[in-house]
Amino acid sequence: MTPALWIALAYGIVGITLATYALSLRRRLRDALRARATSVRLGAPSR
Amino acid sequence: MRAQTLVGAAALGLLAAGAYVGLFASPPDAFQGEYVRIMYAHVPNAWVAYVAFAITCVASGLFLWKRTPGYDHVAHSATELGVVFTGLALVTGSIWGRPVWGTWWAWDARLVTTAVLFFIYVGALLVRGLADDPQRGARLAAVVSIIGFLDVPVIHYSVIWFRTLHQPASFTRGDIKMAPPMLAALMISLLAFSVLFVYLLALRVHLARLEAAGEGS
Repeated sequence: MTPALWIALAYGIVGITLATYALSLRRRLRDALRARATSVRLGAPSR
Repeated sequence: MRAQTLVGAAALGLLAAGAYVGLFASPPDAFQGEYVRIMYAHVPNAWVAYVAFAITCVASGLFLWKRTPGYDHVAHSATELGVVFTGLALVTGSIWGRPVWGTWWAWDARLVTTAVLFFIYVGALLVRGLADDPQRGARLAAVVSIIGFLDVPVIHYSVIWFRTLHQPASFTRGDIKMAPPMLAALMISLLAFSVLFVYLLALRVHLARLEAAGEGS
């Protein structure tokens, strides 16, 4: 493999992993905020 | 939420700048040639992992002392991030090692102690996740996290204490063994990853707080 391919492999793994993790956190946070808003509307006890 | 988005945008901009400088603007190394560019993706992951586990250790100690759930949310979140960044440091180190050392892995002090750190904190997440009582799981994870942090100085000094394949630190207090353009590229990458870590930690702590409130209601 050429140096460019090794470098692309390292940067690619870091980029894909961190992007996937960040997007997954944002989605989970959005879902949790939506669930809290729904429970407040339905009159569930909130803390 | 607005501040989080701003920090996220700043992280994205700095990461793009770091990638550009690391891949194109910085010079190749006299010995390693172009492979040195992997350093700008490897070292910041290790740095952020150290910071994450330091935060985990402090937050775990405070949680055991005060029993305030907020400290546990921080400890849990920082542990998860530390595991992600340690895993990336191990993988990028392995990818760097293959062309430069001729091997993916060596039973070298720096590599082994870093792998041990990774497994200790995976263990902390498992202990928390598998406990029947969440409070007990949080306390056990805090104890594992504090003990696990003892490995961080061992990792740092492993290249001094042992004869290793891994290179020693390129810059210590008052002694920089790196060309200024390379040092600048590394500093930009370190800053970019640090800001990204702040962003991810803020998101993760916010999520942990919402999940805890949801379980309690």
